[in-house]
This record gives sequence, C-alpha cells and structure tokens, in this order.
Amino acid sequence: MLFNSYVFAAFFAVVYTTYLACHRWTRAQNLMLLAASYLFYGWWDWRFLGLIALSTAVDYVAGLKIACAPTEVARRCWLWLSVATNLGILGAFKYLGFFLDSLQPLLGAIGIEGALPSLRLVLPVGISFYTFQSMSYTIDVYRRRGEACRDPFDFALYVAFFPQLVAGPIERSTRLLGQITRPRTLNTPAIEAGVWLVVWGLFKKIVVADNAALLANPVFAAPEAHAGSALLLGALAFTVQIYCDFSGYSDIARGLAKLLGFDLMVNFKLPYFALSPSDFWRRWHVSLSSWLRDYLYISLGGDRHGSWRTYRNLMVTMLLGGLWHGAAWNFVLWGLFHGLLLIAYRPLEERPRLLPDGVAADLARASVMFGLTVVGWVIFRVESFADLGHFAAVFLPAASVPWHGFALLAALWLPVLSIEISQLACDDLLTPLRMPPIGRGVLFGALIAACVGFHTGASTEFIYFQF
Amino acid sequence: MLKRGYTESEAATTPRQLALILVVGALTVCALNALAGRYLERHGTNLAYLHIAHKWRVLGELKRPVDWLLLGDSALAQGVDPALIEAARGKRAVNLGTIGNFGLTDDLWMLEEYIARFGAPEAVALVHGYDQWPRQLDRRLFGRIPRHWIFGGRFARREGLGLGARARFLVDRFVPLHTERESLRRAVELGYWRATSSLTQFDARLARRFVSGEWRFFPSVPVQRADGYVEMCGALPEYVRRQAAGILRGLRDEPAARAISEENERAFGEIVALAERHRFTLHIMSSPLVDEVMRAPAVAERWSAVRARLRELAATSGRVHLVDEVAGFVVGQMQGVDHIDCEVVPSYTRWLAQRLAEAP
Repeated sequence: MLFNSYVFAAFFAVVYTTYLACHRWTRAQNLMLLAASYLFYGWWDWRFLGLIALSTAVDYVAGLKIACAPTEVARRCWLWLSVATNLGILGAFKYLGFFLDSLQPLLGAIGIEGALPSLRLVLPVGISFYTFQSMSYTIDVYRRRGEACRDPFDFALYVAFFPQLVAGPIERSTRLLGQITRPRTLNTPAIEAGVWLVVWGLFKKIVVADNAALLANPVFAAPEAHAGSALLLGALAFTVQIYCDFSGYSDIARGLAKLLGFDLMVNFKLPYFALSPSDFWRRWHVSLSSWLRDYLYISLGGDRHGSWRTYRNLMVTMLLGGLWHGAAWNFVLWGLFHGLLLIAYRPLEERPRLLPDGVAADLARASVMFGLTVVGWVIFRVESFADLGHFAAVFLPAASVPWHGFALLAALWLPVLSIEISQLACDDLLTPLRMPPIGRGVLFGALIAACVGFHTGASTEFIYFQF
Repeated sequence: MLKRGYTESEAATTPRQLALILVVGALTVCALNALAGRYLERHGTNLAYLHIAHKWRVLGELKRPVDWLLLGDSALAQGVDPALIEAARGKRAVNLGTIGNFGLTDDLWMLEEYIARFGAPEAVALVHGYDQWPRQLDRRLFGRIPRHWIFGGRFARREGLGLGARARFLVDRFVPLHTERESLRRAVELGYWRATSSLTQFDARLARRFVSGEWRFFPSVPVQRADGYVEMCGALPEYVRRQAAGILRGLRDEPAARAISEENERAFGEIVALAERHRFTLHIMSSPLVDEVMRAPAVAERWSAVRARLRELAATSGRVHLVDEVAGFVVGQMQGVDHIDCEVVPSYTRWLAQRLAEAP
C-alpha cells in the first residue's frame, strides 16, 4: 500500500475517521492504530508479519528483562539477544545472499568450487527501518536512557506505527513511546502542518521525483550509450529524484503522524544546501545518521581517542551506513566515498577560522558539496562498476547537449528550490505556513492539482522501500 | 544564511483560518481542473478525445438541417471536407466522423440526436474501415461524450452499465486534470516547443517521434472546422509503410473471428430501422486505404465478408446502399494506412460525393 495510491487514501480515510471517533480512549486508538499498521504492512506480503511480530516480541521481552535484571551480565546478555535477533533477521534476509555471492569467487580462487549455495530471499519491505527502530529501544533501555515499556500492544505500535514503518523516520523510543502511551490532543496548527507536509511530500514524490526518474532511468540503464552532458543530466536528475522521493516520503509520514497527533523527527533539513560532508549528514536522512552516530560511531569510541581512531570510526560507520542501504558493493563504495569526504574535511572543520566567512563563501562551499553529493549519487545508483566507469565519459564532449532535458529538470526542481530558499531565508521548515490563509489555500490547491495532473501513471514505489 | 534551515515552527492557525485554507485549496483545484478541461477541449493532444468532443460539439451547434450526414471513424473526420461537397454538388453536409473504436454505436446516437432535432436527412453515409466492423466497442469512451444522458439510468440500462462504469464516466467528464493528464503533459510540451523552437522544427521533431513510434502524435496541429472536417497535413510515408507491414502480418497471423461484432450488428440494425422509419438512404462505404493494404487479398476477403454480412442484416430493407469499391492512395499521400494527408482530401471528397450521388 503506497502513500501515493488511491488504496492508501481510502485506508487512511477509514483509519482517521475511526481514530477521531475514539478520541476519548487513547487505548482504543492505539489498538486500532496497531491493527491498521499490521494491515498496512500485511498488504505487501502478509507472510512477513511474522518477522515484525518476532522482532517486536523479542525486543519487548528483552527490554523488560534488561530493566529488571539483577546483574550487569544479565543485562548485557539480554541486550545481545535482542541485537543478535534483529541483526540475524536483517542479515538472513538482506545480506546472506550477497555475502555468499561475494565469497564464491574468493573460494573459487583457492580451488573450492561450488561450495556455497546461491540464495535469493525476498527482502521484506522496510526491514532495515523497523529493525533499527526496535533495536534502538533495547539499547536505550540498556543505557538507561529510556524506560522499558510494560504494555506489549503499545510497544508493538512503536515498532509498527504505519506512517513511518516502511521508510522511516527511524524513531527513538525516547520520543515515540511516550507519545503512544500518553493521551494525544489534536490542535489546528498541527493539523495544518500535517496537511501541508502530506501535500508537499506528495508533490515532491509524484510530480518531481517520478518525472525526474524519466530523465534519469534511461541514462543509468545504458550509461555506455551516453556521453558528456547527457550523463550529467542523468546524474542531476537522479540527484533530484532521490531527494524528492525520500524526503517526500518522510514529509508524508510526518504529516500523517501529525494528523494523528504524533510528532515524528525531521528527517531532511535542506541537505543540498550543506556546506560540508558532516553538515550534509546532519541534514540528510537525519534519523539514520543520528542513529549511526549514537549507536555505532559513539560506541566505537567516536572522536575521543585521537585523529586516527576518529578516522577509523568515521570510515567504519560510513561503510556500514552504506551497506545498510543495500546488499551491493556500490553501496559499500558509496559509504567509502562519504567516509573519505568526512575524513578529508575533518581538519578544516576542526579549524573553522581557516575558512572564509560570508554568503559568497558559503555558496561556494555549498556548490562544492553539492557537486560531491552528485558524484556520490552516481556511485549509489549505478548497477555495476563497469557502468560507473562509463560515467567518466561525463567529461567528454557530447554530440548534442540535451537542453530540453535540462529545461524539464529545471522546471521540476524550481518549485522545490523556491520553497527551500524561503525555508532557509526564514530559518523555518514550515515557512509556507506563514503566508496569509488565502495564499496558503491557493498553494495547497495548486500543489494538489499538479499531483493530479502531472503524475506519471501508475503509482511508483519509493526508492527507499528497497532498503 | 546557509547555516540555517534546521528548525520548524507551526503557524498559530485558528480553526476558522484552517477552514478557509481548505475551502480555498479545494476551489483552486476545481478552478485549475476546469481550466485544464477548457484548454484540452480544443488543444488537447489525444486525437481520439479531440474528435469525439469536436464532433458532438459540431452536432450540438448545428443550426439548420443538412442534406448529407456523414458518420464514421477518424479517417472520415480528416478525409472529407463538407465545404467541397457543397461547392461541387450543392449538397449541405456535416462530417461527424469520430473514431474507429466507437464502431457504429456513436453513429447511432448521433443520428438519433440529429433526427430528434431536424428530422431525417436526405442521406446518411457510414464510413468505416474494413477492420473496424469486427471490433468490440470500447465502453470507456462513453464518458467522453459531452451529453448528460450518459449518466442517466436509461442509458445505463440500455448499455448494461454498472455503477462503477457510471462513476468512471463522471470522473472522465468532470476531472480532466486526472483523466487527460497524458494529454496535459503533451500540451505543456507542445507549449514549450512552440516557445523555444520554430514551428517547422517542432513539426519535424513531432513527425520524427511519430514515425519512430515513441508516442502516437500527429505531425501538425489539427484544425477543427465548424462543419466537422479536421484538417491534418503532412504525409508520413515511412510510418505508413511500417504500419502497413504490421497490418499485413497481423492479417496473416490472426484470422477474424466474425465479420461484424455483436455491438456493431446491433447498432447497424437500429440504424437501418431508423432509415426505414424516416425514409432516408443509408450508404455504407469503406475508409480510404493505402494501396499496399487495399490490394492485399486478405483485406479484400475481409471487406467482402463484412459486405456479405451487412447484406444479410439489411436483407429486408431497400434503403441500404453498399459501396463495394475502396478508394486507394499511395504512401506519400497518407498519414496512416487509412488516414489521408490534407493534400488529397479534395480527391477523396470527390470520390465519396460521387458514390453518394450515384446511388439508386
């Protein structure tokens, strides 16, 4: 069930009506949301409901046991049980086939042929998201940063809350569980913000991302058939596509949650205006980057043990962050690329006075970072290393410049850029809601009309569903 | 400045303001939808929808009766110029050719509406390609007819339509922003090309795309006239050759199940009944064809089977005149295997008028 489908619109209409009807009973609302979330997830493939239930059950029990364990050893055992179960599920479904396939040539090189089977398991939608979310709960309980949840249904809703179940934001128990257990109030500003986020997210996905995909897909499908500016167009189109696709999904998720009285974390903070790699990761997929920072980078020692250990920790975090996105070597390479960028920029960031200040300098730094981000997306998107090699031809002159493709991409990007500049100028991601009410109404209406009139046809999946 | 962009603060909106925002938003969607519909009605890029809307508009705006009523498919729509008929024969005619996938069904409805307003014409011509007679009616097109009776219970009972189909007609009719989004995209693209290129370049590019089959599109902007004729210029010989080859291959591989589809037989029966009741002559003839296809034995065989079945169906009527002959043109005069370039419209119009005038 995709957010950008009529089935979901009908589903949410029923859920919301029922939810509002139960506004006096938080418990009933939670049970209804839990049932709706399982229906939402089971719509893709009901067989995977067992996995999410297993993950939920293990972490629920582990959380309680950690909280009341008499010794540190027992606490640690329960934590490891939770981590091992979650990573075991993730590893089996997402990475096992990849590692077996990668090991095969190595074994072949030392004369062991056909020792490993080739596995092709169906990847459950959103498994990386809910696994990380569920795992963060037990880690937080272990670190005594959060309390264990006593109610199994509330905890199950925390893991399966449908607006953010399949593609985040990856919430923390310290934020979301409290909102689940407490009575929620709906107020007009939150409802308006919710409507805005849903409409804006749908616009970014349906109008911008899906149409940009029409420019990017042919180039990435056969990069060897393109050169020069055509490759550049494909790379830029994918840069626009992936941002509008994923941030669009996050906005819709946050908007739906706001309509239900929940406040999910901001997942994108104008990432293409980032000045440096670390700034980029403070703005892009914030819920994942902060998860990796809090549960991996800091656990490895963070920046507490000198430069080289810091660099190592950064690299390990980024490599694993890359691998989180998918079981393929290009994601690992993408992680490596961003790890190297973080390391290369680090000396500069430690001495900010060396950097020139002012708007012009910031623009220059943002432009450089944007260029590096585009390179990163090419690594992320290519289907093979040979295809990546073909992208080197971006520096060769093309037979003709695809001006019309660039014009279309600019037309798609312009509305997003305009809104983002206003958000940046006002230092408020909800800036459009500062317009007079009639202006807001016209803006909402125009965005909805654009979604209706310029969608590309059948509902297309969000890119991040595959992760 | 670029260091900002991290915060989020909700506006202090009151319930009344939120209601105003939602109402204005809904009105904006409705207004843009209406504007899109208005624009696409005349400038849309879906030729089928344009033909249907145009011909029903022509019928609705007809002020006085005509002598000859021309009904049929898109080949007729762009193939016969009523002004030339009037100049040559002194007969007032109107061209109501729509599209082949409607078969004879909308011919019947147009004829019924015409007779209800003006009485019977002197003659009615049904012009359809040999391959359209066996086609199943595409019921999704009903929603494109700009008449309110398509939503009524009587029409639904007559056509055996369920509630879902009728709801779909409502969307088709009243939400062009959704149902004609492809046309809208093309229209925007068209606007872009007009703004950035000369029309010649634009036409050449469209023609190239048309030929490459990337998307079906006409090589020049069609001119819709008040007498129903749609002027479409620019031969596409390369495309015609490819289309003809495909058709001939299809004829070899897929034998026709029946000469005339059930829906077309039913509509034909009702049209013949109207001819009897209102005493007009019903001429049946084929759309023009490119020579290569026209001369193919399989095509002659199918057209012959259609005529034989029509003779059976109209056996008791003396008002049906079947024209056996098919007008053929060379590839350089065509836009499709049965769609002629505007250059040869005078010659096909003369041919058709001659057949109508010669009828017993």
